Parts: sequence; structure tokens; C-alpha cells
Amino acid sequence: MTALVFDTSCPAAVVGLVVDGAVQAERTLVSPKSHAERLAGLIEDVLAEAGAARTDLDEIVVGRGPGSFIGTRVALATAAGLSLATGAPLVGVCTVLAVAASEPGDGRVLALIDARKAEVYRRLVTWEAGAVRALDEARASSPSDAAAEAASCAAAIGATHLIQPPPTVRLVPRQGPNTIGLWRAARAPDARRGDVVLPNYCRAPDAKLPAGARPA
Amino acid sequence: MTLGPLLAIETSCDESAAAVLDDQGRVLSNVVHSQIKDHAPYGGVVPEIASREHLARLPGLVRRALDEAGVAPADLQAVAATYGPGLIGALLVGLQYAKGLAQGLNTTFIGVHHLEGHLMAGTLDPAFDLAFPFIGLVASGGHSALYRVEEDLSIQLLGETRDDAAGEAFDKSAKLLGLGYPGGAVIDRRAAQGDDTRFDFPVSLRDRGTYDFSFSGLKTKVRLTVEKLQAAQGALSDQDVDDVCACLRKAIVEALVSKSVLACRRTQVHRLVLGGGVVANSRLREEAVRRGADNDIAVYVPPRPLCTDNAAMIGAAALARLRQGRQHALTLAPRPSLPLGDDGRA
Repeated sequence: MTALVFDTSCPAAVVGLVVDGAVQAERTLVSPKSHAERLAGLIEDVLAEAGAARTDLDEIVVGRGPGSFIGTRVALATAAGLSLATGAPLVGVCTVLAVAASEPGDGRVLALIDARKAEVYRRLVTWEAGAVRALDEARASSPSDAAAEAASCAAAIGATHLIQPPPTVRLVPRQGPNTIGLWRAARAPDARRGDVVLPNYCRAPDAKLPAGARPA
Repeated sequence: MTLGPLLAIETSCDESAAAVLDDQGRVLSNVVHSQIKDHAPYGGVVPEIASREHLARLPGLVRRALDEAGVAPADLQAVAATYGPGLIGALLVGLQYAKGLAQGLNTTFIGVHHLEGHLMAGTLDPAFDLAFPFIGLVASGGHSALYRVEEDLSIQLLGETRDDAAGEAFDKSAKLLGLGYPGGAVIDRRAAQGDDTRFDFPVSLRDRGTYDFSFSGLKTKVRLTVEKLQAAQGALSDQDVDDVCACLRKAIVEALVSKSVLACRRTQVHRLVLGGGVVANSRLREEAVRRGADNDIAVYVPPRPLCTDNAAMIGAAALARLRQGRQHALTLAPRPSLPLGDDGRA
């Protein structure tokens, strides 16, 4: 089972190749403004390093956010084109869950992504017997609410610089998910499969209706 | 090398579109999803809504375009997408999808300038044997400009709007008249029942030695006229609205057509191609043909679906560029204010 895995919804983009659950190649790029330009090259790099051909792909695993709206669409649009070309099914995964699954934990962990506008996207997970499981849905939250949630956790992972939890909480800073985290998230029950996988934006578009008007 | 079949994608504003052309430039399929209903409540295009909708629609549209053309993805010899000008988030969806498809197929990729698409829509009709050079008028919600187009696709800007685009003038006036958004089609309809001699609306830069347009003065005149009618009689009657629409349409069409004819005569290029959403306007279509005939100018007015944003025209421009041996690397990024003549290479 060969999976091409990528996410561009966070400050650090990641592209990896996983064969039978083992990461064969991985590239990380911390440069949000150039993710759209560099993604194709990073995909070529991991395929070449792993000695895999496009036709070998059994699935394309891609983070569907929440995260940067534009970044999430960069990954999902690219993945949809690749999927049509190669016939490899598309699997959209929760990026916050993938962040949580990027490093093994024990017990409850709060995963965080910078949501800008003084908020974080957060999701609560639990690690039991080496497996990660989501305990709730991803959503936007204030940093103070997230810090209060983290207080009941063994650890917080991701954009931990945005919250100030009690010192008992172990902090695991990350700028985005890694390959194995995305691959693990693809085994979760909320992974989406299909020709069209849409982002989980967690927020409505920023648009104001004229007074008295209602959305169509 | 054969250049077709080719898949073209357009997502620069509020139409998601995909088309398949064969290597002779024949349109095998051309599908468009207009987002007008999604944006209408806001009185204009909302960029984030447009981007979301493009991503939701595009994969299905591409599959439909391939199905209708009877072409399998693996048959594609090239994939093209608009990379500017336009809304950055909207452009990104089509561009990334196209790059992903081209990478997965290991096939040729090329980015296309949106306005080159409008200018090359004239090459899609086998019945119109388009010769070069020609004068191209692009009139839409975002653009109003005149170009001289050479056979090697070098494009010279002759004149452009100094303020609002023609489509913007229609939209803003429609809003003022309470006719909703977008304004072009409803003004065209109302104008058909109106008296186009009742108000004297200014035709922009009519007597100046320039090919430029200006529509902001017209917009102000419409506002003042509406305010005057409201002050005199409370509200506008249906006939008043029809008459304002007729006079507004006449003024905009006169500016577009007279500058186009002027450009053809002064440059001694007696071929004129129209493109852009405003070319759906029935009076513009008729006037351009009539005045062209009066001035010995061959005028090509594409069918309406090839005037408004579509992917077939992007395919036409892509084919012309591919024939020149051009293509792009998969590092190509969207360019929201891409100038014509910039081929996107660093």
C-alpha cells in the first residue's frame, strides 16, 4: 500500500511517501507564501527518493484543514488533479488530528493550529495503547479557552506558543503535521473519501451582507 | 508533437469552467458553472466565497468536460489554466488543480493570460477565418481595453478605461436603480423597452485623441438623473427606469464602438474582435456589426457563451502559445495583476 501524503494548511508544509505504514521519504517546507510554487517539486522529490512512480500510488492523503483557507485549497486542488490523473483515491484528513498524531503521546492531548484573528483551531485527542483517537470536533477557540482545556491534558501539541497553560502540561511545539501524523489521521473514522474532498474551514467566509439581505 | 486533446481550466473570477479542445482547436466540450447566485446577495463577487465554490465545483466540471468530449484523462496531451489576472484565491484553485493533473499525467502544462483568452476566442469559430493582425476590444466587469494583436501573439495595448470598467458601470447603475446584481443583463432587457433619447448621457472622451475610456462621469450622471426624478416625483416609474437604462446602454455602447472603429481606422487594421462579458449586450453586438459594415471593418462577435468567462477561450490561447513552443514549469504561481506580454517566467 503506497500513499502520497501532503498538507499545506499550516506554516510548515509537508510532503511524504508512506509504504505499508512506513515513511519512505519526507520533505518539510517552512515558507507559507511559496507552498503553491514548491508543492509539485516536493512531490517529485519524495517519489524519486522512495523510488516510486506516480502509477504506484494507491491513495493520496491530504490535510483538509482547518488551517489557512488558501493553503488548504492549494493542497486539496492539487490532490484532486493528481487523483484524476493517477486514479488513486483521495483521502481528506483533519489537519489538527494529524498534528496530534505526529508525535506519540500518552493520555489526553490538545492539538493546536494558529487560526489567526487571535484564535486557535483546536481538537482534543487521546492516546491509548499507541493509537490516537479524537474526543471531539475541530473548532476555532480563544487561546484562553484552549489553555483551560489544555490544563486537563498531559500535553499540548502544535501552535503551543499561542496558549499559556499550567506548567504541568508538556508542550510539544510544531508548525504543522508530519507525514506519519497525516497517514495515521487517514485511518480515523472522520477521514473523507471521494472525487471531491472539501476543506473543513471551521469558519464562514468573511463577507458582509448589505442591510436586510439574506444569503441565497 | 501533437498538442491535443487539451484540457483548459478557468477560475479567475466567479465562473468555474473546463473545456476540451482537439489539436486543431475544435471545441469538444465547454462547461461553465456560474456562481452569480452565490454572490448576488452581497451585491458583488466575494473572493472567499468564489474560491470555496471553485474548489467544490471544479473536479466535477472537469470530469463532465472529459466525458462530453469522449476523452480519457490519459489521452490529454496538455493541461492549461488561467494564472492571471484575477482573484488570487480563485486563480489558485484552477491553477493547482491543473498542475496536479499535469504532474500526475506527466504531460505538458501551460498557464494562460485571461485577456489573451478573451482575445483568442475569435479563433474558436471555424466559420470566421480570423486573420492577423486584428484589433481586440475586451469589455467585462473587470476590464475595458483595446488591443492590437499580431500573429505571433504580441499584443499592444492601445487604450483602456481610466476608471470603471464598462461592466462595472452597468453593475453600479443597476444597483442605483434597484435592479440587483449583476446589472448587465437586466439593463439590456429594460433598455429594450426604453426611450434612448430622453436623457443626454455623456459618451466618455468622445472627442479626444485617445483610445481610452472613462465611465465614472456617466455613473455620476445616472445618479444625478435618478435623484432629480426622485425629487420631482417621489419614485421612478417603470418607464423612467426603462428610459435611464436605454440612455445608459446607448452611452456605454457608443463609447466602446466608436473607440474600436477609431482604432481600426487609425491603425489601418480592418479586423475587429470583441470579447468579454459586456459583449453579451445585444445593442453592443448589433452596433459593432453595423458600424463595422459602414467602415469596411470585418467584425467578429463571438457567440455569447464564448464572450462571458469560459475555458474554451483559455484553450484557444493555450494552443496558440503551445504552437510557439511555450509551456510552463509546475512552479508557476497565480499572478493577480499579470500584465499582458509577461510570460510568467522569472
